[in-house]
Amino acid sequence: MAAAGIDLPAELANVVVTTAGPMVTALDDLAALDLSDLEPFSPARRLSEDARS
Amino acid sequence: MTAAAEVLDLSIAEVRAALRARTTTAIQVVEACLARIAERDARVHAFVGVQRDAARAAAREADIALARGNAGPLTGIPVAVKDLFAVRGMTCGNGSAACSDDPPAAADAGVVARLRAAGAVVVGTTHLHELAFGPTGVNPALGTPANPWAEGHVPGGSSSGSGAAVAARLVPVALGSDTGGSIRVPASFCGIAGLKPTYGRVSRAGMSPLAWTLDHVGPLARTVEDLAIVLREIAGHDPADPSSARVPVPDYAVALGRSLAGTRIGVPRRFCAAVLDTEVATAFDAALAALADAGATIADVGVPTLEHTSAMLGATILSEAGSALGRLLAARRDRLGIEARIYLELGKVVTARHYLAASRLRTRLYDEMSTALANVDLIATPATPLAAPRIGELTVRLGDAEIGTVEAICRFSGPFNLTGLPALALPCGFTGDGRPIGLQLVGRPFAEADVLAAGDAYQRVTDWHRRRPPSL
Repeated sequence: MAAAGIDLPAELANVVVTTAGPMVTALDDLAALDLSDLEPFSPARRLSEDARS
Repeated sequence: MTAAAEVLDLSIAEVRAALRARTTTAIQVVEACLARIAERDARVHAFVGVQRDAARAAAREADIALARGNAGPLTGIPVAVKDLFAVRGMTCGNGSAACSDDPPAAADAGVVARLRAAGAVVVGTTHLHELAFGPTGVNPALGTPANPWAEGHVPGGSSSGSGAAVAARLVPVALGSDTGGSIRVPASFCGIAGLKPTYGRVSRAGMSPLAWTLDHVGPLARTVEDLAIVLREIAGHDPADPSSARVPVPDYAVALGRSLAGTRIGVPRRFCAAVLDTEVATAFDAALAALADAGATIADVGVPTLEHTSAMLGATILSEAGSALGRLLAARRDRLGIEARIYLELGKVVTARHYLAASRLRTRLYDEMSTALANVDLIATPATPLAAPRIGELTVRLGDAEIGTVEAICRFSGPFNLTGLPALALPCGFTGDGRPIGLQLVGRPFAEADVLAAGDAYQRVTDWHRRRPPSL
């Protein structure tokens, strides 16, 4: 945790790993996906446009 | 004359009719509400603060309006407000000891102002998961609201006090916010209905942010009809909230009473079945059968990107919350609970690459759902993959999967924060040990009327919403 810049007591390491470990691990998988055809999602724009169409 | 205590067992529609028929008065309704809170809230612990004098004054004004014949749609209806909306004269505590000494709000949040303009009587503010940053409702510093159905089990969060207050019949309706399921999860765990409207449908002005692209505002009540009545009053563009939409607001209650004949409901079965408690699966299948018996057709839909829900939600919430709250809370870090500190620290591991990948993948998820919703009118899932877990459970076993409790709880609600689509949770059964189970119905952008009509049709052929917790 310290290497990642996380400032939490060491005794919480197990709790953090148990509760958030899989999600944190999945972040790099997310960044590795081929998303070349996609722009960032803009809910305020997209939903209103689709409601009007 | 309607007996004082009985009035709190009525729906908003019924209270409104009684007020107009003069079989009760607004002051009687509000006094009944305040007496019920005084009697039960020591056990339920739903309320942070109660505005007795202001509520009585508002009720007296409501009675004058009723006598003059110029009552609003919610005149005399008591409402509770999650303690992350500004309520004039009350401290907005955000469920955190770090904020509980803040000065009282000088003005109401936009949604609170709309409730008052419609005649509603704000009786007080309700507890929440600290900073709305978690779906269990467990709050060690300020106290965890009781789940009225299941002692020792979480009420669901983050709108925990709002869910518990409605389920315990302290108020007929309460306001919540929903970033990953925070209206629908407590609704599901507490056996009531909760609506997360479309992104931008209800103003967030005056609400403490958690994650700007995921935050929604909506009501919790016992019946879908009541949600429709309240949504009509709180929906619509607000110049004070640039993200609020300029989309016309229909009269949602008019759409109720429709038959489900011809309504097509899609179920992402593969995603739902992968992580699902067996009792929830049985209740969900029975709910689909009831919807089919009422005239709907049920079909499978494929939404492959749902599999990335946890990573997309985590990347978005952790980074946006870190930005929204980090600076504000840095000076108060020692007064934050450990869970909020963990989440804010975890925000540091989410890079710009992660955040943008999540945002771009949200576009794919939305496109897949749009494709599905071109072929069906609604999507159905269980509201949560499990009924309310025990307080303190960090992981749960669902089928073959051992999964973090937080990730499990948000699995079916989170996708509709990521896409912004309107989503309704409503009760559809109970586990063998008496914990409520919820159904979720999702619609096209700004098609809350369709979602509410289907939920209302389901409540007309079932009685789950009429059951009362054994602890009452």
